[in-house]
Amino acid sequence: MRKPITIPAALALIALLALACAEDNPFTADPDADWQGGATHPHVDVWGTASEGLGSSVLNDLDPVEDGIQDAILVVFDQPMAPATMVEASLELAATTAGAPAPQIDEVSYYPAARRMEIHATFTRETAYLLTLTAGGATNLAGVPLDPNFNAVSDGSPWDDARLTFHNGAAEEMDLTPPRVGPFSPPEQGGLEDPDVPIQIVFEDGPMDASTFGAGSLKLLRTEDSTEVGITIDSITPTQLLATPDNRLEFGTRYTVVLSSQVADSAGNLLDSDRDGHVWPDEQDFVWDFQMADDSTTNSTPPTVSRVSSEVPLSFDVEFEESLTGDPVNMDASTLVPANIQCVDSAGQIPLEVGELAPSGDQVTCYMLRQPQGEVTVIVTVGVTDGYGNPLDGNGNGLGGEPGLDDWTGTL
Amino acid sequence: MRVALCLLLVAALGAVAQPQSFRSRSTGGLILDDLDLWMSSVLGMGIMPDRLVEVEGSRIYTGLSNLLDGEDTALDGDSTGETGFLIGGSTDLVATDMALGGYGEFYDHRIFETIEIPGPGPDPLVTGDGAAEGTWSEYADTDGDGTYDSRHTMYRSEEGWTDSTRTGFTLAGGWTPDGVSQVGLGLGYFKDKVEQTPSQLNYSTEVSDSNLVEGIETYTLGEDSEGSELREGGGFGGALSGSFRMSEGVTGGAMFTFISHSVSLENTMTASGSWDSLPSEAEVYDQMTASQTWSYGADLGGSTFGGGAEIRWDLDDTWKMDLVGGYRTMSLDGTSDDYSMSMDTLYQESFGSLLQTTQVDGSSTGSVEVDNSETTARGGLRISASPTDRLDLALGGFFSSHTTSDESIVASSTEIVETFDDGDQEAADPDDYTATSTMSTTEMEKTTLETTGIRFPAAVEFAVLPRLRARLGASPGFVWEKETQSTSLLSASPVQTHIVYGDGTEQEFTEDPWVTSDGTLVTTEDSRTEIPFHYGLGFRAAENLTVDLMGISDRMNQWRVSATLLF
Repeated sequence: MRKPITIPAALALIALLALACAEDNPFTADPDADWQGGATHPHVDVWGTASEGLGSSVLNDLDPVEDGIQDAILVVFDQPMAPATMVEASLELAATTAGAPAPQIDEVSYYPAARRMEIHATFTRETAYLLTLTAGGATNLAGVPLDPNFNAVSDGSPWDDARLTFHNGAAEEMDLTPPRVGPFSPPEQGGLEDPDVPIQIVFEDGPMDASTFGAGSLKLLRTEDSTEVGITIDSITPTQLLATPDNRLEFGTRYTVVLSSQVADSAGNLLDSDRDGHVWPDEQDFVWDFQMADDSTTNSTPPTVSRVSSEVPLSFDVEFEESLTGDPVNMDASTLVPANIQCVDSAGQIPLEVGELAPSGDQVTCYMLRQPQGEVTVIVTVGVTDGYGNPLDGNGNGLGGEPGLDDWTGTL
Repeated sequence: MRVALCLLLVAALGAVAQPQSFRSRSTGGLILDDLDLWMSSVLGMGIMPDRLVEVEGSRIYTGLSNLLDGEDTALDGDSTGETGFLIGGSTDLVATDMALGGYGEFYDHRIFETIEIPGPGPDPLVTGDGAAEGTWSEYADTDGDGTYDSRHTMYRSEEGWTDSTRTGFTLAGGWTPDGVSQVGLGLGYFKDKVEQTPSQLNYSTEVSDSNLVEGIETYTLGEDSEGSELREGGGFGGALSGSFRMSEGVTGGAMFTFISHSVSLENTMTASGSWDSLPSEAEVYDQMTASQTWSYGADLGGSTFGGGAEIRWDLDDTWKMDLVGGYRTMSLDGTSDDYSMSMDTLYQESFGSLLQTTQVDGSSTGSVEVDNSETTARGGLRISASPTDRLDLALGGFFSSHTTSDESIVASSTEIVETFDDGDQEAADPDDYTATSTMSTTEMEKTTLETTGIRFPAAVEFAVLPRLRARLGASPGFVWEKETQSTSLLSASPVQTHIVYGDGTEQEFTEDPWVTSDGTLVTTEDSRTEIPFHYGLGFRAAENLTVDLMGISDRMNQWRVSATLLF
């Protein structure tokens, strides 16, 4: 029997017309549906191998039938990446074991939902490999390249080459960790007694390459005028540097030690002087100060604040003493001014009047010129000096005059 | 929104109001005077210069004619008389088959804004027009020792006014080559300018707190702002009209008009300010300085085209009939790309030996596209009669349709960069940061107004005394009105903030939740009946002088007077 298709078709047509004539919502939301972020640099989040999973750098043979080691390197990014950059041209995969052949890349694929790149390749047994995602190659959806050294700047190669190592068997992976400075002496403080004190630096994540410690890689300077003081490097081991001043250090003198950031370990990794795990093109030298104790002819020990107290409303007293020793000091009255003694509350700076220096020379009274609001913080800056011109040592380590670090802060 | 509003106002300047006699005003436009004959005729779509030849003799319209807008109250002794004026006239004395007419209108006026300077209490310190300033101080004895310890002083000045100028000229000529047919040509030019100097943008503020015991300032604040909104519009146009006899007692007339419009807009604002919590210490900072500029400019252009036709039928010596129909359209559009806003703020705070600085720089750029249009269609029938010398009456039925559409698309993108430096000179300092925020929107606003009306006006003019004629008019009608105001978000991106710290750490935030106003629509639809009434008096004071009155009530200072010299 012939099916009645005319009536259903007509009804369907009417229904379509009714839908077409329905009054639509005239306001169509049309937000920018494109990638809304993009200013942040992407990074490698985690990596691993197909055979052992994320977090492992061990390569195993997933296909024993085929010759060689068939495995895949997995790289997961912290942002959605541009698929067009997740290709073989954006990477270099090389064997780092001497005499080993280069691996054969079979396929490079990218899974956007997992932000994961997979590099399928055939490797060689007992061989270590270095994967380099070359600077500027891989980008996120907005075209921002990887920033492996985490300085938020596209520095180019080699600074922004993202490097990962893998291995099969017992092959040793290439060292990618930059060396850092561990304990050092003399410590960053004042009051040092030994004029023959050696300079000792212990390195972590070496071993260090002694050939990178050339002339000028370690300097000892007189802090006051930056004049160089002669030192001799006695020894450089993979983990330690030992140097001795050519002459006895002077009492009451402050010295600065400068270790160049261009020294490197045996794998060529430059010094990570700020210990943040990354090396920047403008990585600063490793620097610290120490100061020799005074003898009978010097007066270089800085003052510090011993106490701030408030006995009378709208006023407070600031008392000083010699840092480290606690001996009495005679302060320079001309430096005890509102610019160097500040008072801050929730409304901002409180205008102050600084009174006369007490006859004892170590105490001054300050008067607040408006009613404080909430907690009052007193700041005595490094602009305050004693009678010998030694600037304040706010943190009490015997080294005064460091802006910010040596401002003394307390609350009333 | 503000920009769009300004543009709408400017667009409105393009519509040139034509003078209308008191006789026409008093009778709902049904009974025409000499002036109305060639200014609008019954058609009402613009000047019909050919009909100048129908005006016998000469007319002189002076400041006494009150034709600019008909609103002058000459009998009001308190009136300052600060308004514009229109002067002109018409004559057929140039040649036997020709007539000329024309007028010029002039308006130059400053309207002062009423300024209120606030005081310490609920009442304003000073109130005045144009510009005002004032200072007040408050002294306090904070320690209760009987002497004042502190003083708070505040100074504020504001100024505000609006300057408006308008200049327009119209010249027309009519020619009747055979005494039956008529042709005419009219030319016009106008220029409008409105410059607003609002107190909201033009002010100065100074605040000072002092410690009277030590004689030092403990807080200062200063803020200055200048800004203006300038709108200029101008145009020129022409009108061509003609009349010819179709048959005995039946005359056909037609007219065509063209006006070219141009509008320019220039808005600027500059403001700066600062405060200092420690003005007495030059080396200790707790202060902020800020400035902001805003500018916008636009040039628009457009034109008006219109035309219409009349059939004037003398039914007999008493009765006449006019059948009219016409159409007129105006469009004005343009694009501006030089909208810009910038602001920068620097906050400096000493913390010990460190100077912490927070710098905020913002900029916004964008463009505005404007498209305004206006169409008018009118048609109808007038029947008039003069049964006696003492009586004129008229009846009519008219259909009119008026549609305006104002559309603007405003696109803007904004970037704000905040930089913080704690001043310790630390390399790779995680405390220092630069935060960059961006956003953009493109919105469309559209307002349309459709007004359709059918009116059945009636008017009568009769002689109360030999030289005094009373006029009455009513224009009952049905009016259908629909106004829609809509906004649509065409595209947008959320506020995106990217922070880079000194140690290279990055953070990025996207406005979440992101709430967008995708669109709104407000519709006002109304149908109603109206019956506006009009009345007035016409007095033939002398052979060469007529005086017309409107607004007659028990308060003579509200009467409006129009005097016309005729020869």
